[in-house]
Amino acid sequence: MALHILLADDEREFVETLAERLGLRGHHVRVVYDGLSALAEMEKELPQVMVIDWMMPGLSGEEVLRKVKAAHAGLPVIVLTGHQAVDDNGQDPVAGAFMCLTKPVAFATLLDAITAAALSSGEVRS
Amino acid sequence: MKDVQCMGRLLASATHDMRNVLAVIRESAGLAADMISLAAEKGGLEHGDRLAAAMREIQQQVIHGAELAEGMEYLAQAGVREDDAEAAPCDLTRVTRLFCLMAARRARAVQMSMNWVDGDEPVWTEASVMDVWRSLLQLFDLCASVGGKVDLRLAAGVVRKQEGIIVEVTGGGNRDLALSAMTGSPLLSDPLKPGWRARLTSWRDTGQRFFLSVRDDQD
Repeated sequence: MALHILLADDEREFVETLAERLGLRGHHVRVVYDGLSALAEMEKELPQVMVIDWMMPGLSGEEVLRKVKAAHAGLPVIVLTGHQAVDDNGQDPVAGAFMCLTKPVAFATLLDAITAAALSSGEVRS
Repeated sequence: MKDVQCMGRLLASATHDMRNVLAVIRESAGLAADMISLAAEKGGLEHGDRLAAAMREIQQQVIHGAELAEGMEYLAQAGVREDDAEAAPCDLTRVTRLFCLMAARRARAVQMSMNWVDGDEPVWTEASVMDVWRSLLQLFDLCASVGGKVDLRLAAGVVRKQEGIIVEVTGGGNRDLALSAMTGSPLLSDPLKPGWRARLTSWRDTGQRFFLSVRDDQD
């Protein structure tokens, strides 16, 4: 199942390596390095899954998530964060995301999350 | 801003950065492993098995680094909230696990081991993270003061409606010395901050297990 995935993260080494690994598995991956570019790239061609960093310069992951959900509510967004996703109050700061994963996430975990996200949206292109 | 809050903010920032460093290392090692696998399909690389093993070791070390980063971030957040009247209650299960992870290196230096029992459910306490960790460090120092060589197992739990940490001395060359020190220790009765007090009490099978509680002294 080849998926169209949009990755947004200002950590270039990380996101480019991740894109390469996803590409090796047959996925079509586009990479951007900030939030504004993520929104622009999304509108060029709607991906099946977005994977965004939570803390990006300019437009933060939180703002990107809000704008994505406002424009395309069904588009699943996976959030990667350098912080713990849920604090001791049980508050989820990334409500609306399909899933939130803490770096450094295991590749297999992320891959499973991407597949599940694509399936959840009900639009899986072959 | 207090010193601990200043340190907490900077530590939180650095920890975030460290997670990114670990993420790059992890993905790079993963990509290298992918390449080794691809090469194996075409006849293999010289020393390919050794390279693959090295990549797996890098992955393991990254996991360990991520656990330490979690502890440092938790510590940083606790520092930032030190004076926050609305501070969140802390989960003793998580605090115990992170303490064991973060103190492991220091424990090895005095031939101590600290293991934790992973509970399925969180055990919440109104005591602050700092107070709990301070109490655990006092317990650690108590065991180190008899010369170390003590094996401890820690588990968060609730005894008589009081949340705390069950401390079991499971072995080690100085096990009996540690048990004696803990049995009669006034160390953990030192006030932590006004109103709060850590207590170490024998629990169930006297001489082997203790119950460390941190609670409001007015209770």
